Amino acid sequence: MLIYRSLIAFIVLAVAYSVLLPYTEINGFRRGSQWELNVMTAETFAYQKPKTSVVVTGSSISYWLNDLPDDWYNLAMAGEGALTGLSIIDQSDLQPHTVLVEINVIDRPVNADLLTGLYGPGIRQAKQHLPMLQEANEPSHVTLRCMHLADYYATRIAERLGYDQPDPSQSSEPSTTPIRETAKLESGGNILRAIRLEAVKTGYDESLLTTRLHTLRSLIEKLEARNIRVVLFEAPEDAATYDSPRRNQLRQLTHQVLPADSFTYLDTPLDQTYQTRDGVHMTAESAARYCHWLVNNLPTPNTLVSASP
Amino acid sequence: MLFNSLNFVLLVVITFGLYYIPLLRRTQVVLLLIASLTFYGFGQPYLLTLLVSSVLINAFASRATYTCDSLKRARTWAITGIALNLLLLGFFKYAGMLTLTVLRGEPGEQSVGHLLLMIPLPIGISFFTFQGMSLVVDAFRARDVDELRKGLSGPPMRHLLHTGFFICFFPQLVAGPIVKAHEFMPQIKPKFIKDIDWNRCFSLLVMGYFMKMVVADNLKDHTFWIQPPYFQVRGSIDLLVMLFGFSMQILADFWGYSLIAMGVAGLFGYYLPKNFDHPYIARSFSEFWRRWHISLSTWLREYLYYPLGGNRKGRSRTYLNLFIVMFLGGLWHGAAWSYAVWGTVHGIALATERALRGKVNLGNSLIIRTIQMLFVFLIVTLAWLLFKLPNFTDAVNYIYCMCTRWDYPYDQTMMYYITFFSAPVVLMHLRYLLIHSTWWQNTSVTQPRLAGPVLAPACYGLMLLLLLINSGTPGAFIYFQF
Repeated sequence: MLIYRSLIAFIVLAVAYSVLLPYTEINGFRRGSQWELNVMTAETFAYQKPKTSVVVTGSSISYWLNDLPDDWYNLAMAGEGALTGLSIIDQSDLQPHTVLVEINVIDRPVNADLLTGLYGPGIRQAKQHLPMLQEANEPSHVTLRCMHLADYYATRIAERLGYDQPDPSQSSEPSTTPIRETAKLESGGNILRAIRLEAVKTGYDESLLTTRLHTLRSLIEKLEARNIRVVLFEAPEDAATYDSPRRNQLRQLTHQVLPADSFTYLDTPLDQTYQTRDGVHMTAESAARYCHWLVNNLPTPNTLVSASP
Repeated sequence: MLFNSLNFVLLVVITFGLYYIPLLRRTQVVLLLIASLTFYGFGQPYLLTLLVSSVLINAFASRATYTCDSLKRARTWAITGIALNLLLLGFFKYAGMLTLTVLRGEPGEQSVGHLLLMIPLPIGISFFTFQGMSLVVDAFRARDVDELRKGLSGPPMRHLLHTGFFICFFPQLVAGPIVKAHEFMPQIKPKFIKDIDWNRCFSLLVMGYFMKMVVADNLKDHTFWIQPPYFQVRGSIDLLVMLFGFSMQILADFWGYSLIAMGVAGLFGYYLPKNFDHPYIARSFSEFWRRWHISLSTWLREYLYYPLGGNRKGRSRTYLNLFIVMFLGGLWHGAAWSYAVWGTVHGIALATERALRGKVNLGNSLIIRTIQMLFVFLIVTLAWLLFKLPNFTDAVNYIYCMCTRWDYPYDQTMMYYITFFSAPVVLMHLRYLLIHSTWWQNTSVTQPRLAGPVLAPACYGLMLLLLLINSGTPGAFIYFQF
């Protein structure tokens, strides 16, 4: 009896949840753990198929590039590398005219779990037809969205009733990221900077890196075969990181496997004005500035820009 | 093979289908043994050598202990059996730790020390070794359990088969509950599908998978940042919240595993003992150990604390025994000195509590009981840090950061998610407190029904829904590493 009743309760709850779900949506509202945010980014790209002319792929370094134009899609993922983003585009039927590939972090393999969860047999169809199965619609995220919606409506009602109007900056906008960023910048950034600087003093395992670069090359060639232009770029970092043995090795090997006369590179702005909060990840202000730089300096189609290794 | 993998579901379904075919009833034990070996050897078949060795050692030692004609010989066989079990455990689990301790650093690549460090840790070795030892000790004690005695003195091949099944039974093979021979062996007999308690199995499985896949696996992604260097950039509140989250995660992870094990064993007609009983409502450390990992604490009490003399040899010896048991219990968890420190913390707490028993009377008011509960929870949670940060320096550094960074900003989003996913565990404890409270007896208020015909199915329905749409990224069970 318990089993039957539980199954009936399950069906009733699932139907009710599906019906109520559309009323909880907030445009651009995304919260969750690093992994969950990556899945949300990938699912939005794969299932909602946004109208996109340029897609950015890469690691957490590019993940923070938030000030991109509306027709650009940032598919960079924290904790991953460009290979995962490129694989997602490869299996998608979207046709952006340009894909930007961040090459600061290339040693990370394609995340097979993420791709299976996205395009696995039956999964794509199930998630497309049942939005409640998508990451962004998990009850934990939906509850948070509802709390923000409640906060928003409470503010609007208070405004109408003529109560003290709260400071707009205290409303439903994310309160955590900038605060945490500041904290890291002010106190913890130096600890991470020291650790990262230590890490980049040694090079990668050359054979592993070469394998990854060949995977990258084959993915790029597949996209180019679909008439998608692929542009490689290296985001600015601290000078000490940029000139480290690891980065120099990476640059050299990348240019060996993906020679500049066959593949398109974007120069790295080396004007030293870009600030990072931990040696690698740009501050919000620098990231915004770099976004504008990217938009202005992205070569027009059929223009090759070479970069010195 | 993980409980939360498709392979495991397939294994259970296929084994279940074959298990209850009337024609195969005589081979039920063999079927489960094959399923268990498949479960253990899946992906790493070479590990089966060790498991089979353990079965052979314990089958032979227990039988020799039981059937020999003098007490002296029986003692010798029992000691040999236990020593071989400990040798196996010591070699595979502690050789690396001892090498590092003795050499005080990483050995050279060509040295024996390096070879010892390269020894892989077979999954579940601590659990099946303890079960094997329980069989040898039960044989030595000649427990007054008919089925156990018959098994020990019956045909050797049958005893070997039953020992193999007892040690390898897959639901509890790699992370318990640790079953004692005199509790399990009597259960080995033909099983019938009509005897399955479907409601019990269903509720255990739903609850177990919910605890693991929804609570623990989601908390895992937020407590990830406890590890260095990430915790070093966080403030006190973040660090406190993450530690709280880890405390909930480790309970949900292990409790979930135990419930799944009980549920799966129930499908095959076997009863596994309860391993958890709302441990975070404990008001003392001794109560905590009666509620946390019950199968381990009863094993340690029965096979280590009592043989050491328990509380029968004077006060100071009792304290020493408690300390030894907890120290070794700590080391049982992992081959690192931090686990020994963890055990020592609990040992000191238990000994102190025993020393103060009867001398300090704080009363029994609600406030005092709540403070006691919070105090035990606080110490237990702080000690869990050593499970997440086995490097002792990191753990101390974490606590230092947690105590000194009150002026740092905090991450509201992370707080929200940890609260959200910890809520089921907290609610379960509150429900237990409500049900077992004596307050209802002294008032005219009617005690609410917390397991009625509507509420219970609604809760299970909700858990099923959350399992479908809010499961976290699959992660290995924390206790698998032990």
